[in-house]
Amino acid sequence: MRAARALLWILIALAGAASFGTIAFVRGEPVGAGHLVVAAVCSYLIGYRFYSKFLAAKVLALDDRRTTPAVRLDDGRDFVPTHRWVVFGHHFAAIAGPGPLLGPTLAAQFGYLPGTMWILFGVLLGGAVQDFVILAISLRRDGRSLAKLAHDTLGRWGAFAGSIGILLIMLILIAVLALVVVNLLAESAWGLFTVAATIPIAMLMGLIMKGRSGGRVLAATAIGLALLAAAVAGGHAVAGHTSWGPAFTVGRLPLAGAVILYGLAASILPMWLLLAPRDYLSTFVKLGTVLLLAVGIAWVRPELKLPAVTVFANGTGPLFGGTIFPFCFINIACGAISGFHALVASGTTPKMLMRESDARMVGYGSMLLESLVAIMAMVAAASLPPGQFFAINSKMTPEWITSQGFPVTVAEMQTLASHFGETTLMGRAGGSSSLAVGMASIFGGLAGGDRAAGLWYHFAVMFEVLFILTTLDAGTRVGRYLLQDTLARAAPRLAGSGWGANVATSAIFVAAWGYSSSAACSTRAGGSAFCGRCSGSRTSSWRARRWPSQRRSSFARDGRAMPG
Amino acid sequence: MTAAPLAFLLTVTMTAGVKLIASPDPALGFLAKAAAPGAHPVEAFNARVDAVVAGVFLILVATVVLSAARQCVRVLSGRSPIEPDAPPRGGGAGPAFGEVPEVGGRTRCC
Repeated sequence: MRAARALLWILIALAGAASFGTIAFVRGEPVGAGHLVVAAVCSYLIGYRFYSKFLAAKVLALDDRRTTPAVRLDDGRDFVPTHRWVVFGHHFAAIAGPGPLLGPTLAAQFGYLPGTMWILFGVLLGGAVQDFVILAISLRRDGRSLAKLAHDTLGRWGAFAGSIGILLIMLILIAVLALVVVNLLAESAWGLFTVAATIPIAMLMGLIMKGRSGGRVLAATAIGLALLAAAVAGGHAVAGHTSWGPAFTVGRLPLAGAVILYGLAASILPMWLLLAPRDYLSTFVKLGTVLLLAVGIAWVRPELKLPAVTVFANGTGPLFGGTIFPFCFINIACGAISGFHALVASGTTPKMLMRESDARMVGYGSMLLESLVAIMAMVAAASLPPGQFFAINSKMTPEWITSQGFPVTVAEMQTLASHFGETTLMGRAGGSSSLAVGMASIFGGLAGGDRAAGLWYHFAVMFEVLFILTTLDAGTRVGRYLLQDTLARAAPRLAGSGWGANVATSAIFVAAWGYSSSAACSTRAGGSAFCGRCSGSRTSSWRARRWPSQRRSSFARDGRAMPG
Repeated sequence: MTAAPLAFLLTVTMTAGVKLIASPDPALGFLAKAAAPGAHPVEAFNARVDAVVAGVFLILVATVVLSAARQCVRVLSGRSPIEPDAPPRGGGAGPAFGEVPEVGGRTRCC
């Protein structure tokens, strides 16, 4: 038995090594996207089985005899002993935002190889370790938050820097998330209708589930998923309708206002009415879509059309400035390592775990799953024709892109846009549109073919925005908690959970990120479509605010409104 | 075990931060962009704000890392105690966080 297990691990290692060898050394002939997925999954299996076990046993010395905060401090509200699979689902939903989707798409500017290597090595040695270690530390310290841990251990200046840094990062990243949503949905009636419909659907589910009986949860799930499918399909009819179509075709600034109002509502309303059912609904969509994408890649077997390393590694790329070092590692944060996860791992998760040893599966395991999402995004980007990829993601003209060795024409881009039911796909910077095109191409190969291309495209857009809005609303609420903690020293009344303190601190926090995002929306060049959610303690989120507005493209010069 | 990834991330983050502020290329550096001839006043202002924000974050990161390093030195040299962990279910002291029990009852700090 022992020998059979050893043989199995040797086979997994060999399969992973063979796929690594193929993606790293094969040049001049097409490489199947499946190699990326096989290399990733084998690496994750080995990392989880050996490295995380070593960390659990030798470094963190996890001990199930030690009672967890959830058990010791059980109060039925914040500290609640919860089944480990439910905690796993919660933790994954909380950490998985748009970062693993958009970061790899943007970093594909350097080719698929650098980003893929960073995602795999970064997550195994850095990201998953960080999530796991922070979770274990918080677990040993009564489930305390990162800011509180810094306060307890780092001394006055370290604690001050940590608290200010966390609050500033939350503000910037939520402002950037709002911009991503606005850029995705502006002038897109189909996408806006579908996403807007998820809000009343989630609230309806919340009302149905209020009773919390098993049957009600099942009924709410069935109704929610059916309505969600109807909203995706019905969006097409709404977009084509003579009066409904224009009503859902909204400009950037009004849309930014609507997103701000939504953030305020999500921060103020009770958890069960909006946030919890949206989390629940989006977890189904997140995991279901990722699974479907994996099946699609296995079935369609797309080839990686992007070179392993492009000419833009020297810093002349059209998506963003900067050389491969350090900007490949800055753009891909969430799929490899993200400081934002530390806030979750020292927030709700340690207050729910029943056993110390479960921290390995929840902390290390869910980060590996998120990294797999990043690999899927890389596959979707790299399987597009490179000319189309750069035309979608940059404001550069097709002539310039063609001159760099990636042929593309205006007519080709128009055909592509009409194929997916859009008016244009050129210059939709930020990664989200090209990701939707890549995903829709793979899904189209799985079912429906060309006839379903538009449906799949808008499904992918809805999938992305659902990811982002769930982060935006939960992030706003967490930001409100942080602000309450910070202001409580000066104004103790703001620390309470009463309506007055709730509304006042929510309004302050939403006004802060809302101002940034609406100001960016109102500028001529538009804001960023980059996701900074998971940039955590790193620099990418504010860097992202820079590059769209500094571009000197023909689009900017002739004063055309820039689509997302 | 986590020092090497920390060193790498610190290098990446600090290099990127310094480059974004001080790179002479207007397509990359905030200050160069703000000073570029023909820059739109609003864009130039935004670039300066970005440079300040980037600088503040670099200082915050450096402060946290230096504070953590100081605390590590204090703990390793025995001048500062490791905070005791919450007790195990059966009572008695478990190994403190960061300490690995070894045969013979000695403990080793990681």
